Amino acid sequence: MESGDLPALDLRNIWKVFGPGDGSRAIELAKNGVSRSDILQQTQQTVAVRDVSFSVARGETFVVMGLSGSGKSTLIRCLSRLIEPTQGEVSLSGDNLLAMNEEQLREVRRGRMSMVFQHFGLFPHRKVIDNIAYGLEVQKIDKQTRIAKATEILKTVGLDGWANHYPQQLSGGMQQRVGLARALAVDPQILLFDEPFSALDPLIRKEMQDELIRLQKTMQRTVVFITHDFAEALRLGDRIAIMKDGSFDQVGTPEEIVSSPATPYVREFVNDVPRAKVLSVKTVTVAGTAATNGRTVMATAKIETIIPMLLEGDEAITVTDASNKAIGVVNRQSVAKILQAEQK
Amino acid sequence: MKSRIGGLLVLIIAAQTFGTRGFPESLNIGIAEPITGVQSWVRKNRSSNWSFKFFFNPLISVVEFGLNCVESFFTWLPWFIPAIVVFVVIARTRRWGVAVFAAFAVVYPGIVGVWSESIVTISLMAVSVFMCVLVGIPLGVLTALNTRTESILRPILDGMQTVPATVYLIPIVLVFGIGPAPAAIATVIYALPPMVRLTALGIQQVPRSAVEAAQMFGATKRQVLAKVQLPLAVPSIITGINQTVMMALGIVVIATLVGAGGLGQEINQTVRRLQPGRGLIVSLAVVAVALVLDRVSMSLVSTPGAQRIRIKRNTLYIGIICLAVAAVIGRVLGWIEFPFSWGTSFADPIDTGFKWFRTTFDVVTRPFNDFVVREILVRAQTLFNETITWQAVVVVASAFSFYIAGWKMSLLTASGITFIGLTGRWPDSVDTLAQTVVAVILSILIAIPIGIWLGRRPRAESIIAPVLDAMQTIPCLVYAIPFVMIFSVGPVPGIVAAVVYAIPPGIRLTSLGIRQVHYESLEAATTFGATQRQVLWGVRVPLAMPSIILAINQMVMMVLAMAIIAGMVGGGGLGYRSIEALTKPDSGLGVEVGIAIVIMATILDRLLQATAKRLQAPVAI
Repeated sequence: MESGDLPALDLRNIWKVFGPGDGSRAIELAKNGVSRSDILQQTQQTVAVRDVSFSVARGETFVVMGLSGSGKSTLIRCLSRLIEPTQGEVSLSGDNLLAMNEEQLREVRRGRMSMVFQHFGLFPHRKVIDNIAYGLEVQKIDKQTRIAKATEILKTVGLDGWANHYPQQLSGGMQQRVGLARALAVDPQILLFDEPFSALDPLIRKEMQDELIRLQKTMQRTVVFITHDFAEALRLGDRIAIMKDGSFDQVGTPEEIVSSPATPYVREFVNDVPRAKVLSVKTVTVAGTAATNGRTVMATAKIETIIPMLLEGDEAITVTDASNKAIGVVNRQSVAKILQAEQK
Repeated sequence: MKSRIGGLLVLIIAAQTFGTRGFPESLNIGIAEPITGVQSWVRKNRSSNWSFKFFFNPLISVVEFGLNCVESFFTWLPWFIPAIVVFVVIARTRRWGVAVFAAFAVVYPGIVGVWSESIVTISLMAVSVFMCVLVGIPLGVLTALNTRTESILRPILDGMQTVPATVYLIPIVLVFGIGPAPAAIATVIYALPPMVRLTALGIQQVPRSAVEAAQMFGATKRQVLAKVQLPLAVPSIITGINQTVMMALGIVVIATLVGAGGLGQEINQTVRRLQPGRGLIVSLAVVAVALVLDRVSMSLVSTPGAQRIRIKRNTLYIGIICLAVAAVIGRVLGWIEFPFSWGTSFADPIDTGFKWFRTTFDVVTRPFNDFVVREILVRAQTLFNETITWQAVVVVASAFSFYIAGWKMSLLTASGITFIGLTGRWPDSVDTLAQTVVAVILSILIAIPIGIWLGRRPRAESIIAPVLDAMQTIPCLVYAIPFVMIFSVGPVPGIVAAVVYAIPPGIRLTSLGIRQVHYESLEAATTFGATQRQVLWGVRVPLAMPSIILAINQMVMMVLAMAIIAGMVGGGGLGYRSIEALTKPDSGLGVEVGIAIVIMATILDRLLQATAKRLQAPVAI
């Protein structure tokens, strides 16, 4: 299993067809460009996921963003085999997931991946502490060890003192903390999130996102995160895939997507994004030189941070890369141009 | 459209002119004969065939043994012990009022002097419900988890609920003979469906994400079932046990036809002797048994986080020992049977009251009785047996079905009606159908307005609901007793009893529909300035329509179920035939009757369900 150079998770040409039959005909039709509704009419089958490939590096957070019906929930279930993909390959650090028998699959789920659910998926008949310890209980770990471990995790997510309550006695945000704690308790390499925060209020959602970012900084797990909220995708994702009608429209870093949306559909989301918060200075750097002893800024800084500097003085600012070498300048015009694009 | 109606008219006229009036006996396909053949084979081979030697007879012995054990235990027990146990079990949930009331319900049969009879009934209940749980939960789990089992079991369960109990008592009598043990087996078969259904429902209702979460942690199928699905299905399973108990109590009276004894037999006798007072008092004992079993089972389920009094293990042991000592002391001192009985002192005034009612309101009841019999039932008989041809009936009925639910339903209706005729039960079915229609119309006229009224008055409903629920646990024969007293023996008491029996669920479903209308729709109507009346008739009632149709559907089914009881008090029709078939016993006749009732029930049920569906607002895709 020592395979540091292999991606933690690798999906190749995943298809999922719902409906009667084996789905091969629907896939043939879809490959020939027949539309979803025509396929449904001809075969009574729905193509939920069409030809999706991506890989996630160890420690990376990969966000799949799509609206309801885009197939994102089906996709995340395909890569945990809660739903069997119709075609394609899934490998976990090189191990072929789809070839595993039930027992091997159980082993993977027990130790290597776990999942946080949209509606929390907590067990209403178990106390918070027993919910968190569930994954350990399934592995037949003795009670004392698992309760100790669960108590520790409970503290990590800021819920100490709630161990002996039942989930339905907690608020939505707290319930999802339990869901998160339960997933973390088995110490998985891969964490799957299925729209975990969409059922929460905006403020609580923001708080949970911050919590996840904080945890991710210390834990460095491989995360696949499903959401319908573009802002959430931008906040959390190292890379983002925009999903529509079962396939990916675009895959890229938040910055790549915001600065150059690949399709009109992606552009619609990007239009509403405050670019200064997402884009880095690098995207507005133009060729040129500024006064040698003038102000400098890192290329990776967000545009947002240099606006006060631009307001202070008229002259251009030198942009430097990681090794402190000048790579160009930013000035009021170049920033104004990109911010103006937002208004279109 | 016009040409269709024209074509239909031509078809009806042709059917009426060239068809045969009534249904000719010559077309009887003789479905009864082979079945009667089986019956005589069973009789001959009961003692020699292997299936009896190694399966049926041992089964009967086991059940008999169970019944005897439970019965002698309760007979041995001094009367106050069960009362204390019931009180303590319910008091743990801190609902003191309910606990006191249930403890009173335990001693009630003693107070009215039917202590030993209720022990017989309780033993029958205990053994049959135990068997139901033993068989029903595994079947329910299989149904929920295995689609093939579901596709086999579901139609059987549906069928079991429409076949009148008397009909499937017949094979039981044939195979097992008569006595308490066959009665217990009959009760199991009758009361099993809700156990299976609610177990399956409970497991299917477990949130998908909970199951997925368990799977994601690598739980095996067995672990998912034992640790997630079954525990979460417990409330539903307990409801299933409850329903099973209620169903079992529901056929307490009919079970006496195969030798069950106990309270059922007492009730049966009060009908024959026309003692409504005693009938009422004994049936209240049945209600008391139902109530106690219901409350105790409910208080045993723990809702997560609910407050209940904790009892330390030692206290529990000491308590049990104390009870045992008390039981032995009570036994030694001879406090076994209830020390006093006030039974007759309650019953007599009630009887007198009914006599007074009968003589005073004769002016009203007699004309009503005569009107229903002469103007409706007799006319319906002549209409369907002498005036209209059966072909015309088939054409009209299937055209109607086509209009409501399409050609499949139309085909089912046509073949169903024809088949009833072919089995030779045409006149009996006409009789039952006419009575059913009268009873259903009366029920609709009473239940729907009350339901609509109650739906908007939650406080009134919270008072009436328990009464309505209690009414559903009273054995249906009991309803017939007062009406036999008021009207003379004949179809009318059966009809009126059926109405009284059917309206509680009708009211409940209607008011539920009215209440469940989403508040946003109501607020929307109000903000547009609609009056109270406009909100009710323009929004509430239309949105509650599917629910109201289901209420009507439920009432039709209950009235049909009552057909047998109607037969017991002289109602004639299929109900009477089914009792005739059971007492002879004549399996052939029984099967004919069963088929006729199932066909009628299925057609009416499907048509009403289809109507409800048509009225339902289309849902977004």
